[in-house]
Amino acid sequence: MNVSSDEARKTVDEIEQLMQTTDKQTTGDSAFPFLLLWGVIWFVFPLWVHLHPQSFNFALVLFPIGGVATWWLGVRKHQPVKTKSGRKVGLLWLVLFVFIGLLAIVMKPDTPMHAYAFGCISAMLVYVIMGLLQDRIFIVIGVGITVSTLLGLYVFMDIFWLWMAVTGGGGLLVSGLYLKYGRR
Amino acid sequence: MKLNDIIHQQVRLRIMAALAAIEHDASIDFSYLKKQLELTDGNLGAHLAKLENANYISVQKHFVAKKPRTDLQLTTSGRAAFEEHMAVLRSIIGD
Repeated sequence: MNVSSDEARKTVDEIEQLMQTTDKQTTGDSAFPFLLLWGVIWFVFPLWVHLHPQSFNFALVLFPIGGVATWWLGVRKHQPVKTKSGRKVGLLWLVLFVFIGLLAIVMKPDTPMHAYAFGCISAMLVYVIMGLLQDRIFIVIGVGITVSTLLGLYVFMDIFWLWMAVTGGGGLLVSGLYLKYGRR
Repeated sequence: MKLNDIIHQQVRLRIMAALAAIEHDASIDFSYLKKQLELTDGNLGAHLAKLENANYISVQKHFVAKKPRTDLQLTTSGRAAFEEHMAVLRSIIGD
């Protein structure tokens, strides 16, 4: 089989491009439903609290629904790519849910703001771990939302809930849209 | 080293590249790959059969939520063959 240098270069360029595109698309298509789901939840809950101060019980309804929906998306929904690290990340999220719940019961955070910030930062820790296991973009998302959470807690505490709706929920939504449509 | 006749066919090379792009332990859904590579069921199926006969890919059929699903994954020998094929192409370029 004879292949000229030009043909070989064209083929290699096409294949490398295809591999890069596939890598990004599979990551984006797999993560998109989860980022969309939690982006909406992280947008709706703090906005609800901002508009209805002290009505934190909404979390008791919203977050368990989010947990069940996450399980459904991960286990029951048709995922384009299946990985062993994906299963580990799923277990990591389950451990995190239990950990945050138990810690909240034991430690009783001082204020709802601190409790919510703790939950957000804990979740972002999993994003950083996902970044180490899968795609570095999750490290950027995890660190970015952690920083915005700390800014909300210590700098913008007067508008903390609105701040978290926009930067936390909005951040996840924008990240999901970027992963699915912006990295092609 | 020489070019691999089975892999060098354009569609099969693209299939191998797409499967090589995901994690080593990962598998990709048939329908998703078909859409990604813009192929028909028959075309993709025929090329997959050749790659499976060469032991370059594994094909696993099962049910998820009562719906049939076909997962495709590069075998160890498939990944090695793909990497060798790409190395030969790069050597022709002179990289």
